[in-house]
Amino acid sequence: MTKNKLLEVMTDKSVDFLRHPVCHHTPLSFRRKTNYYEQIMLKHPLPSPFHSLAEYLHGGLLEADPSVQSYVPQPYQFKINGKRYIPDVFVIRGNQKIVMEIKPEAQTPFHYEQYLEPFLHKYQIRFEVITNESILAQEQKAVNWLKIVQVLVAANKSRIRTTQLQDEIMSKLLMSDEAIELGDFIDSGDRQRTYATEVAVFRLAHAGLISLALEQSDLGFDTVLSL
Amino acid sequence: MNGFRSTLIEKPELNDLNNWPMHVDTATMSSKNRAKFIRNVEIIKYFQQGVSVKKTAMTHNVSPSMVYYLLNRALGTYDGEPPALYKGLIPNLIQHEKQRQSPMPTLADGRGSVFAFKALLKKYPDIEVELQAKIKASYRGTATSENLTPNILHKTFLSLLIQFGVPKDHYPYTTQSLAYQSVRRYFHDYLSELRCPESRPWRESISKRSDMAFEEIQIDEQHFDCETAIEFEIFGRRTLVRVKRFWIVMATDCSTGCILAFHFSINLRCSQWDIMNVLKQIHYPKPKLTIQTPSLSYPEGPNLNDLKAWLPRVQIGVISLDNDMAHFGNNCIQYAHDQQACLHYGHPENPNAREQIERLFLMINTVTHRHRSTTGSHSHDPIKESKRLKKKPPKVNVQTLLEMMSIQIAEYNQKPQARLGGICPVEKLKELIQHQYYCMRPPQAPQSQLVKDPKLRKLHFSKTKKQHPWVNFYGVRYTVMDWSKSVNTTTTVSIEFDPQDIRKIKAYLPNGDFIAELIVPRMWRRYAHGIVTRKRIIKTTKNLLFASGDAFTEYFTILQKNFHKPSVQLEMVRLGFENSQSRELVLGMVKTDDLSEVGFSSNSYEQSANYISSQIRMPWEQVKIS
Repeated sequence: MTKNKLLEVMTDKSVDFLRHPVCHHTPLSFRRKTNYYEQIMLKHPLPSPFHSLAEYLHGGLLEADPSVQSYVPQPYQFKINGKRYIPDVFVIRGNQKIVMEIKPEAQTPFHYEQYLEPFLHKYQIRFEVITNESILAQEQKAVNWLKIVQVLVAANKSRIRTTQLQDEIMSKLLMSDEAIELGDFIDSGDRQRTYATEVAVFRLAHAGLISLALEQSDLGFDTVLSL
Repeated sequence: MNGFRSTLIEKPELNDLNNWPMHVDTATMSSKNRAKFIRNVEIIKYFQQGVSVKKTAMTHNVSPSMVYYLLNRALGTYDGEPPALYKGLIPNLIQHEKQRQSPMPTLADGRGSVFAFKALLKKYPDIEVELQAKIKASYRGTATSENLTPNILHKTFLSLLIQFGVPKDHYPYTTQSLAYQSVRRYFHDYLSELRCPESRPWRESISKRSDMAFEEIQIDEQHFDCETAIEFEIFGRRTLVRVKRFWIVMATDCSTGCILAFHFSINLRCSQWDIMNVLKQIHYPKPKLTIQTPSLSYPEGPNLNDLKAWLPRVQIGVISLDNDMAHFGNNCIQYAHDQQACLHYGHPENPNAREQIERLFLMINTVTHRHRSTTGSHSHDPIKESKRLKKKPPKVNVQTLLEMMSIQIAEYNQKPQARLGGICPVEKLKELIQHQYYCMRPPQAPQSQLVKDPKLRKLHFSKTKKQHPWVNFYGVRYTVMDWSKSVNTTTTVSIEFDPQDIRKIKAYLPNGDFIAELIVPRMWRRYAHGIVTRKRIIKTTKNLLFASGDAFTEYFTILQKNFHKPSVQLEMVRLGFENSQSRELVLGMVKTDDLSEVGFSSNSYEQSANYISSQIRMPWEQVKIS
């Protein structure tokens, strides 16, 4: 028996499904057993299930990465050696399609990698294992981006238009020689008045047109903006 | 072991007592040990001053070997460890694990058996492995694990001695008890070692640190003892019943510790509607209650209603819940998604992950009584109900109970806390919102009691009869009252409803356009009722509905027949509580010419209502709380 015969796709066997998966439903019994997070994201605009803190933070990091077009948490269900296995996330980055598994460093190398890598390679999909530790090292950045995602999802739902404001912000950043902070665009006394500008800044950052210094400090009025 | 001389050659500065770091607290020693310790220090001081060992010993009335012994204890080193210094001068302190020095006792060579058991386990390590495995298996406490005692373990030990070929003339066969006491002590020592909590790797998490308003909101509910009586009046006869337990659901902001919302539920189980109630209060806090009980009043000071203008604009970060089934209700999940909040259900049986809310319940537990188990108080529970109270329970109005809880929570929110820099939680929240950065929501529609149903429902059109279209909702057919936008084909609609009163619901197209208001059939219109009541009525009167055609009458008759049951009494109180706010059913949108089809004749309704009320009085007419 070859190794690949041990692997079976349980959800949908079509090639198209493998390349364009949909989020696998997490059963209630499993949701009650795990450290479960659920949030509507921007690059996966549906309730996205995450089965651990590391997975949730990784979602924030994917949102922060402008090269990632979209991702699907819990994409497929495989049966490997008779045991069910759901990878953590499917990511589309540029022309690449990547299936990622998030594991603690102590549990690497991942024992299903030998089955998954050749199987997914046939469909031009890469398989990667990321350690929890590497994600938790960027916790501050991830936490900040998860907050920005919430603001942007709410703004998108309310159809807040910011095209003109985005142009104004870009021109201001281009003309300025000094470092500009988020507080320069937000009126702390009347947040309501500058709400659209705040959304515009976050939209620019999410699109990768400007960068926010969120790696070391909390999101706040003193967050530095740069091109 | 290296003696004191080699230490002094390596570290000559230790020859001065002033260079020894002082890390021994003499205050904790017994007076006898303290005196001996001071004497030992004096001996070392004399030696360091260059006084001969003989003279030092004579001065302190000890033998010269005692002086060398103390020097070695204080300055000697074992296996490269640093010298014990002052610790070595503490009398009777065991510095290193002792081992047997002499050969093991045999029948021919009858030596003492000091540390012989330890030496035996060292010589035969498999015996120790087997013993430890047996104790571990017993400690796990599974259904099949053995109820291990020292006696059983000793018998196992003896069989292991034979199995591993320990000579019959060696220890423990040299002793009369065959090392029973050693096995007993080993059993207890290893068991206590297993019971010790393991130290886990700890990492400071940024996700747990919050200095932003509403960054994390923790919600939980707890069952409390009420231990009070409520008086029912049924057909003029007064009956005293005891409502023993109630639920409190609370929501707290982690960054400030402020109690944002609380809900008081007199029910057997906490439902998703109780959680929904609390979730809605986070952005729109409830106004203060009108205090009806004399001598009760709210404390003066800042309260959450002062922040009414700001709270609806603050974006919730994470809503932390435990894995109770009520928290997984579709309506709760839908509401959280509508607020763009992240739902977080922690690991099971890990309340410490939500320490803020658990601490608040602890605060309430100090003034109330919570049963130690699901079966009630233990007979030796020090805070169990007194015999006097049991015979004659205090009578407390439900309204009073609610007012007391509300005042208690308002007081907590206004109490300055040291961890918040001496300001109260409400003020801290105000400061965070007005002066610090917080994630902001877009402008919101005015507050509404209506809840969006997560399920899409089918709008039915009859193909055979000429009748209005309808939607099936919680087991009942709702008909369209009036079209605001005509829909010609069968379609799916989303429903909005008030969970406290589901007599009227609103239907929307999936794109969000309002279609029509729908109304319940006549027999369900008499009293305002929530989803919980509807479900219970349908479940209880499933087979009886066709007999009378009045679900309410059937249900109340069943309740009255079973009034002696505590669960029914609780249900009566819940119904009374649900109906305490009288709601009028407004049928303003019904066209007058269509009354026979979608509305009802007021005269006939009054007649039927009078007829029903002559047969049975409704619970909220009967409940008089004293």
